[in-house]
Amino acid sequence: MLTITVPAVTEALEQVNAFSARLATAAGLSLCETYRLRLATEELFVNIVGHGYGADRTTGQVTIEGDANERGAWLRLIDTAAPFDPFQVAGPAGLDLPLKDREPGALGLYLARHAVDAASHEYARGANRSTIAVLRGRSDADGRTSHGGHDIDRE
Amino acid sequence: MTLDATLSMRENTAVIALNGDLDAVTAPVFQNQAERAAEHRPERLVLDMRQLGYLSSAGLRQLVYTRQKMDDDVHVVLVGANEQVTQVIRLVGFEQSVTFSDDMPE
Repeated sequence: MLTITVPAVTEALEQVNAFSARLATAAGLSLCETYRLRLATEELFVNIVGHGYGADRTTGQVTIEGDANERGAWLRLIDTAAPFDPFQVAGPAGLDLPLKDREPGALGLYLARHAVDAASHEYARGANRSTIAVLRGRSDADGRTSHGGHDIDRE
Repeated sequence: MTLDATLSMRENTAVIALNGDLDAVTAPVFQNQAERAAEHRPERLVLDMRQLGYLSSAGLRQLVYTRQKMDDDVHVVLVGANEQVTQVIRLVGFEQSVTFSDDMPE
């Protein structure tokens, strides 16, 4: 299992990307699957930075652990911000509205949920633990049919 | 990961060429060029995505901001978006407000 700890600042995204890319390579994920793992990881990380720690971000840290096997890659973001389940947030309103009438934002966690094959959250020992998985061979042509929210079947 | 964004004006069309990855770190690069484009009051906004490898919600948010700074009837054309970028755009329902194109419009 791989682990990194980064400061909860947007600029740490490059390290986070490198971490997810390493897992994707180790799992032999396709280009599309690799993209989905990166996307979900970015959206969760950015949400922790901007909303989880918020004003406290200068002292916050995010630990990410993950692993890969022949089935795919899984990754867990751990933060000590207030309890928050990113997979239980209501979907953004107005997805059918034209861009000129939209409220900007609120799309990140929606994308994260749709990008992964499995997602779960727990708050334990003072920390949020958000776990996602992208499985090999589950990509489809028109985006995700799996909407996450499943328990992750880890070994 | 980096992003280069280059604005060019062709009559009433603003063209922003995006080269690299558009994420939470690089979104301000796009923002700068998008704001410059809006100042020209274009009738059409073309985003050249042929060299764009990645797009996250940070880029989508900026696209909404940009669109709202322009006139209501501005036509947005996305050129050469790769399969994954296209999926992200469709997933959030932007496809009804933009036109996908394989080639740069005339």
